This record gives sequence, structure tokens and C-alpha cells, in this order.
Amino acid sequence: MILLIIFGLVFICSIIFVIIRLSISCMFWISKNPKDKQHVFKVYFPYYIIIFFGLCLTAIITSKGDSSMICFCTVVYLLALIIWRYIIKQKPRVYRTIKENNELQNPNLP
Amino acid sequence: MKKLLLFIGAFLFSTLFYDKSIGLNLFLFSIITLIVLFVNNKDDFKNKRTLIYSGLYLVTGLAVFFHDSLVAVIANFASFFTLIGLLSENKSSIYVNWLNGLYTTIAGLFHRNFSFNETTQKVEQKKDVDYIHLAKIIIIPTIIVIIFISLYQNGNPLFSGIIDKIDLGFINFQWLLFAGLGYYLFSNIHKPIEVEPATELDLKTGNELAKSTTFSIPKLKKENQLGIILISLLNALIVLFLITDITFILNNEKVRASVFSSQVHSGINALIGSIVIAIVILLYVFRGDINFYKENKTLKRLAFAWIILNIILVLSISVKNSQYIYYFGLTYKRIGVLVYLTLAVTGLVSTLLKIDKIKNIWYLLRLNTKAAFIVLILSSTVNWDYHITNYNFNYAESMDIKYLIELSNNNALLLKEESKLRVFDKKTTWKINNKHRKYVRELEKNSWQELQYDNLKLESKQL
Repeated sequence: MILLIIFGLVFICSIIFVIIRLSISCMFWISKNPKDKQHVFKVYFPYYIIIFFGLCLTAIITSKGDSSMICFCTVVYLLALIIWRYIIKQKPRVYRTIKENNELQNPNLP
Repeated sequence: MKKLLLFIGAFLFSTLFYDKSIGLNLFLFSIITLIVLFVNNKDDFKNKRTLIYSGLYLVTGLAVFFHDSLVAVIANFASFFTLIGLLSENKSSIYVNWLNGLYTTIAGLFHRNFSFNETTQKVEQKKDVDYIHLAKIIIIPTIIVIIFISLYQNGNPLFSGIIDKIDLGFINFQWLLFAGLGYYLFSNIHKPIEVEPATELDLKTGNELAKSTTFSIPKLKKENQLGIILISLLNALIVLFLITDITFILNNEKVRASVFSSQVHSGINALIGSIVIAIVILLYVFRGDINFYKENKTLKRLAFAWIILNIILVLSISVKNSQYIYYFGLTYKRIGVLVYLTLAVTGLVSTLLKIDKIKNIWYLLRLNTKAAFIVLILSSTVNWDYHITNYNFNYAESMDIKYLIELSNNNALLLKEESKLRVFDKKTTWKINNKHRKYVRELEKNSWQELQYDNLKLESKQL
């Protein structure tokens, strides 16, 4: 039974994580300049977080201030902020060609 | 010092709001917020606008204390967001202030962590906080002070008595979480931030209308002709309507209730729609280059005449509404009509100014949102439930007592007073007494955070 509950919780958490991650990715996809993280952050983050906060607040009000709903919404809200933080702080991936890799491994020594 | 202020703010936030309903606490919170904002943005408080908005914020806080109405609470929130937004950028429009205020309140701290320095093109990293040192300076002195308090307690019975009286029983895990929320809120708002794209766009957009590059006189001549014909016809129609309407107002002497009610309801709804359409038509006609066309004087005069006639129409509606209020009493819906008419007059006057001074649509939007904000603040200062009850008892020709009983508790004391002076049937008297009893019990239960003006009234009566 406990295993089932843990499995259920993990499943729900994963789904929530995926939904939030996808919603943030959408902000990058719709941007004209998706590689410029600062631009995406400046232009899309304010509206994203205001709408996200509005949804959380609506859920809390609809549940008539139920404490479990408040906890859930707080966790989800913080999770969204953490994911944004992770994405913005993440260093851009550097793609190298095979030639460049070979050069790095076998530099032309004098 | 500033961090300490945030901690104190968080402690007070939790003390004021944890497990409490709204009352004096919202006014005290307004004062704390102003202190936090002043300490962190001293230069901004030299600005007159900031001082005015701070004053309005305090007024709405006081309004909540005097009459705990929903309008007052909404006005307090609106003025809070406006003030925060104003501190983030004091030249932006009021609706951008709301956006900035909301954004700062929700995610100010997070945004500041990723503030982007345009000159260095790098994300400004915050200095690392020495958490171990911070923990040391909090925990070590606390432990030592506690040890010394327990030592002194044994040495002096008077000191021991004072310490025993300090009750920290209200602090629990949820209280601490609430304090955390307070800390997050104050950390967000202490240095207001802005939604850059929206604020930049707003600052760039002026109020003046510009001549387009495709300025064509033959095209404008046709537009001018169309506008003259359309607005002339509308002027003639409104004059005819006003004559019949004024005749109706002057000749009707206490018409039958049902007839009057249906006339006023359907009439007012239609007229409200017609004023909105009037403004839209004028905005369409004067949307572009016609404003710069030399031969547009007739069209402008006709437009001004139409606006003035529409203002007369608003006056006639307000006369009808006042008559209705006089015969059947004051209600929220009827007050709502008056508020709408006030806003409609503002809309019409601002449209007149827009046409006269050749302004763009943003000018209208800026002026009217400001007007709506002022109306909200003004209406929050009035205890509507009390005044509705007072008017209906003392001035209206007839009234619905059920409606008055169903209003909020703000009229409970007045209803009780009136029930002593008038004769009602048993059921109504029981309902009034029940409402009064429940309200008094509620007031007596109020803690100091939840105090209301009625608490003071009740105490002065009991003395």
C-alpha cells in the first residue's frame, strides 16, 4: 500500500514537473530569439509568472482556502521559479565538429 | 539595517494576519509597507505623486478600519499595486503601474537575482552570503541571552514575574511559515522592479496624434462629408429624444411603480449602451488624418455638440435614477448606475479634449483609467451599507426591509436603533435582533488586530 502511495506521488509529481517544464519551454519556442535567455526572461517571464500566480490564486480561492491546496500551489509555484532559475543559469551547450574535437585531443604541437 | 527591517516586517506581518480576519491590521500593514518602501527608496519619496499615492494608500487602509467593506479592501489592494508600480517607474501610466506593482509583489526578489547589466552584458551575480556567520550572529547571542535570562529569573522574583508574563504561545510552525510569506513579500516589494518591455513601450508612446505619411486631401474630404452627415443625423435624433425625455420627466407625477420600474430599467440599459457607442463612433471618425484636415471645423463643432447633448442625456438618466431612488429607496444597483454615469461623463469630456487638442487613443486610456482609480478610492471611503439604510429609513418614500437586512453587518447597529423607533412585524424584528446580536458577538470576539471602528462605538455605548 505504501509503495503504491509513493508510486502515485512520484507519478503525480513527475507529471506536474513535465507540465511546468513544457510550459516554460513554450516561452522559449514562441520567442523570436530562443537562444537569448535574457531576452526571453525579460519579455516572457513577467507575464508567465503573473498568469501562473493568478491560476494558483484561483485554485486556492475555489478550494475555499483549503490548507492542502495552499501547500500544493506553493510547491508548484516555487517549482516553477526553480525551473526558470535552472534554465537561465544553465550554460549554453557548445557543439563542436568532429574536426574541432580531434584538434583538441591532438593539438598541433611544435 | 535593511535586512533587519525586512525581518521585523515579516514578524509583524505574521502577528497581524496569521489566523485573523481583516480590520485594523490592514491599516497597520499599510504603515509598515510605507516604512519599508521609504527606507529603501528615500529619493522617490521626494516626488509629489509618490506622496499623494502614499496618502491614498493610507486612506484606503483607514477606510477598511472604519467599515470593513469589500470595496475598501479592493481599493487598498489597487492603491498598494499603484504605489509599488509608481516607485518602479514614476513616469509610466497608471495601468502600467498596476502591472509593475503586481509583478514586483509576485516575483521581485527572483527578478532582481537575474538583473541584467546592459553595459557589461552579464548577469549581475549577487555577492555570496556568509550563512555560517549569519547563523553565528543569530544563534550564539540568542543562546547566551536565554541562559542569562534563566539565571536572572532565579535571582529576582520581580524579573521572574515579568518574564513569565511574556507569552510566545502564539508562535507555531504555521505562524513561522506565515512569517516566511511576509518576508518573501517584503523582499519582493522593498526595491520595486518593472516589466521592461511594457514600461519601455509606455514611456515611448506619447499622447499626441501624428500625421500619417499617406495624407490624402480627396480621401479626407469624403471622410469629412460622411462624418458631417452621420453626426448631424445623430445630433437631430438625440435632440428629438431629449425633448421627449425631458417631457416625460416633467410630466410624470409618481407613475405606477411597475411602469416606472420597467421604464427606468430598460431605458437606462439602452442609454448606457448608446453612450458607449457614441464614444466609439467619435473615436472612429477622429481616428487619424481627419484631425489635421483644415476643413474639419464643422465636423468638430458637430462632434462637440453631440458630446454636450450626450452629457445632457447622462443628466436626464441621473434625474430618472434619482427619482427612482427617491420613490423606491437606495440600492447597490442604483448606486452602480450613478457611478457608471460619472465615468461616462469623464469619458465624454475626455473624448472632447482628445478631439480638441488632437490627442491619440492612449491619452483617453490613460485619463480614463486614472478617473476609474479615483472613483474607486472615493467610493471606498463611503460606508455604503450604512448610508443606504439611513437614506431608505429617513428619506425614501418606500423601501425593502428584507434587502436592508441582507446587507453586510455595517448597518447592524443602525438597524437596531431604527427598530426601536419604528414598528415592524415579529419576523422582521427577530431578524434585525438576530443580526445585531451576531454582529455584537463577532465584535466582542475581535482581537486587537481585527479591531474595527464599530468596536470603539460599542465600547463607548457600554460605558
